Amino acid sequence: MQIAKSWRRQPSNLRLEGTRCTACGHLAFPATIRCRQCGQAEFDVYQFTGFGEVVVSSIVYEAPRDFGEHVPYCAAVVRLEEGISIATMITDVDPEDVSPGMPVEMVTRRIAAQGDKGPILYAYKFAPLLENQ
Amino acid sequence: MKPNLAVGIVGYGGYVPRYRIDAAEVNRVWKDSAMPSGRSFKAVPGPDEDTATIAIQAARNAMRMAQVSPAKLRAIWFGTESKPYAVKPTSTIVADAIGALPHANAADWEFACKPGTEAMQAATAMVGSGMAPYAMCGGADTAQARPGDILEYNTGAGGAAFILGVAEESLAVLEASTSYVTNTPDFFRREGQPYPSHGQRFTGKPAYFHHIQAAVKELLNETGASPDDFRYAVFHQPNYQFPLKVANRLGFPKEKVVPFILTSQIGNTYSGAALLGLAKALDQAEPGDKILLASYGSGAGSDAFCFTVTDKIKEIRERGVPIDKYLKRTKLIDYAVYARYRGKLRLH
Amino acid sequence: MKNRIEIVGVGMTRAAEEWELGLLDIAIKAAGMALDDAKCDKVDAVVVANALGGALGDQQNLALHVASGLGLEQVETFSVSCDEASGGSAVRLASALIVSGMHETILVVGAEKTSDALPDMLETVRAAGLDSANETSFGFSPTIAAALGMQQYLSTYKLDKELFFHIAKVAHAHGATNRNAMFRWTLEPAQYNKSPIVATPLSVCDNAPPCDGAAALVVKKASAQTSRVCILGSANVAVEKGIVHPITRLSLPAATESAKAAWSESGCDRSAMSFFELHDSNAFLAILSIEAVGLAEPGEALMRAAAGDFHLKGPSPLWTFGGHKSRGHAPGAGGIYQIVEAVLGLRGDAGENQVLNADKAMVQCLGSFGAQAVTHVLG
Repeated sequence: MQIAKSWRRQPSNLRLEGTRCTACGHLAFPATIRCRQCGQAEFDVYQFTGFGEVVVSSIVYEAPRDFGEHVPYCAAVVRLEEGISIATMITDVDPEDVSPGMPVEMVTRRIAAQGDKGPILYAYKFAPLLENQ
Repeated sequence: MKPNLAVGIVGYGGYVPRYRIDAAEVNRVWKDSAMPSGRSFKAVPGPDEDTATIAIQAARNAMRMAQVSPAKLRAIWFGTESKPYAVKPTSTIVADAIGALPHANAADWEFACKPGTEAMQAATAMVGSGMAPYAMCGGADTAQARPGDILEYNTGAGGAAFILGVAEESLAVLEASTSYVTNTPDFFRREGQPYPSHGQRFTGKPAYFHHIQAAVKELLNETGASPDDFRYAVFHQPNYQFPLKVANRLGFPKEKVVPFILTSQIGNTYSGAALLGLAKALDQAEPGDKILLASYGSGAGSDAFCFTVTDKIKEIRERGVPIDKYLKRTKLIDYAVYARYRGKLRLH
Repeated sequence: MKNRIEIVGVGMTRAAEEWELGLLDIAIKAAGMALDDAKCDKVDAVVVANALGGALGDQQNLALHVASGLGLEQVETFSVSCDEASGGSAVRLASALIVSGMHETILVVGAEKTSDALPDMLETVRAAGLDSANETSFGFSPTIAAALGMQQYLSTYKLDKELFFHIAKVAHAHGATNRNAMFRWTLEPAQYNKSPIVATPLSVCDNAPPCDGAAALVVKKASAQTSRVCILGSANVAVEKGIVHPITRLSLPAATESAKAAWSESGCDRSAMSFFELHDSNAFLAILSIEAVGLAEPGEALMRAAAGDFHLKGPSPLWTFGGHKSRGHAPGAGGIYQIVEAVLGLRGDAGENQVLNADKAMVQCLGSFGAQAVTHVLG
């Protein structure tokens, strides 16, 4: 994990901030520097609401490096209520209880840490709506 | 102590992780014959949780209730004794997550289990002096305990956050607060050590009881109130017995105290303990109620507060997340899973 | 057909865990075999495909080192790294250099050394071909993405997971007779069903096994009367990145468009193909590829596999030497292995893996979870 790389991403990682193109209104998550729809380069910060639903999920038993201590964990595609789908982890639930259509909300979690000495990556995961937990 | 401008709580929020372990399950492993046999649970952070994530969720819940612009928070002050980074503030992570940066003061407070109430006094001063429209304070911990130590039976995890603002916007107004502090080494953790050490019975009479009693008596003197004037009283809760006993000594009847002793449900959440108790009391308070809060931090000191609940509480409280929601959300785990989640297994 | 490229020599190493040999060794070994096969000792340029070597801390700028190791002097070298589409992309680059008139004869090598990395490190580095900030940093890998895709496929088309057996079965049936294959055995349902789960519903058996391997070609501008295997058409198409797209849409537009363009250039279509080599780094990309190039209707790839369509004697022979699944998956070299195997099939040199009367073949490799597709039509 590179320190500057995750620092750069803090607005989207911690607050789910993306961009809305001032010209065509295209929403992007994470933030973009050139609109892929119209090519324009001016944006408003758009904060996604953090609500969405599970499209599909998987229980991961063999994880990439730095994620092994979390297995088994739930990986998923979540469709945000703004219509954008993102790859994310689902937490605060037994992975086998996650199913398509489940309403979820953004929470901030410790995604990975580089050993005992390196930086900690804090970023979004999604959890079942608290009222349904 | 009282600020020039009247100050109160404009929003609050708590958070408790989902996982629980039964003290009896801890005792299945360590077999301490002195442990009581009754069931008692403590909250355990999940493998992706720590003090920062707990504080962030408590802060978000407080913001949701307060509905104030994050840009108007001039301070984000969290207290903890389980910082994810020994050097690098946790509060900047929390402040960034709620969108309060960069025009804010962010700092971590440390005073064993009472840094959150110290931050509350400082935040009161900041708002009460007119320096800031709003200030956030709070406490969160993933409480540390050496495996097998008596502490391990109930060291929990959780936190709470409070947003202070002017009295007119508040759901509860701060009438007064006091602080009573001495140099008493009843409980400490040396630099670089993973677990705290404590003076066993020395943590009782000269430490917990002496300081809380002194702070509360001073508060009663200052406000001219008597225990009868209070609807609820919340004390720091390292276990179930201490707050009951200190309440009894100060003249607060059991029924004003018991509903806010959360130790049998979530354990001792250290910096979160008294503040989660206060949040629970506010969850059920009625306009006009007076609430006493007395924290305790080893080292040692106690901060005592007197709040009066306002007419606005029902409208404001409705926007928040009741602490009960987290108390009822539980997933029981055994000692092995607990050991894994708490990083007590050596992986590297 | 103008501007045709002919393949004058091929070579490949066994796909295996080659503990005794390094990345450069296997690359040189395959390259030497191709040069020998072409009876050629001089080339103008060396293009080497490799996906992971740099990230794994192994050799970078591999082409220079391969050329040097082969004793090739005064040559132009290019190292190509396009994730798992590196092989196909390297051939496209070599073709462009020839068609442009810059060079006449080019050595194209694909090489990968996976066995030096521990499995979790390898998975992390393989994941670097995905979106690094949004997917890899969050613990996603091609395998996890494939698991999500399989789950979405199964629930969308209301299918049983057991049907995926037929995909692995085809590959193993063909790989069993490939002496260069890593897994030379046929697969039984019982074995498939007890395969450990990596990420539900994907099991070890749904993933191609990572291996070390290198394959090489010598290509040149085709002479008018050549009887050698030629590149009749090719295309390299990229679309919007992101694992969520194949997972949610269950389609690979890059694969579809790349195939169409390559066929269009070759002047023939799918029905003219004697066999196919598609990208089966995992079962999800395998079935989407099958559907993308029209070997099955959407949702029917597993049924077509079960019906035997893809066997050597079936209507659409696929993975004639076992594909990545049975031969072994050397990510950056995979695209070259596919072409070398196709050349053997078209020359009639495929032995037990021969498709009878084969005269045209379609080869396709994918990069970055299907966001990039390189297709070659050979004949």
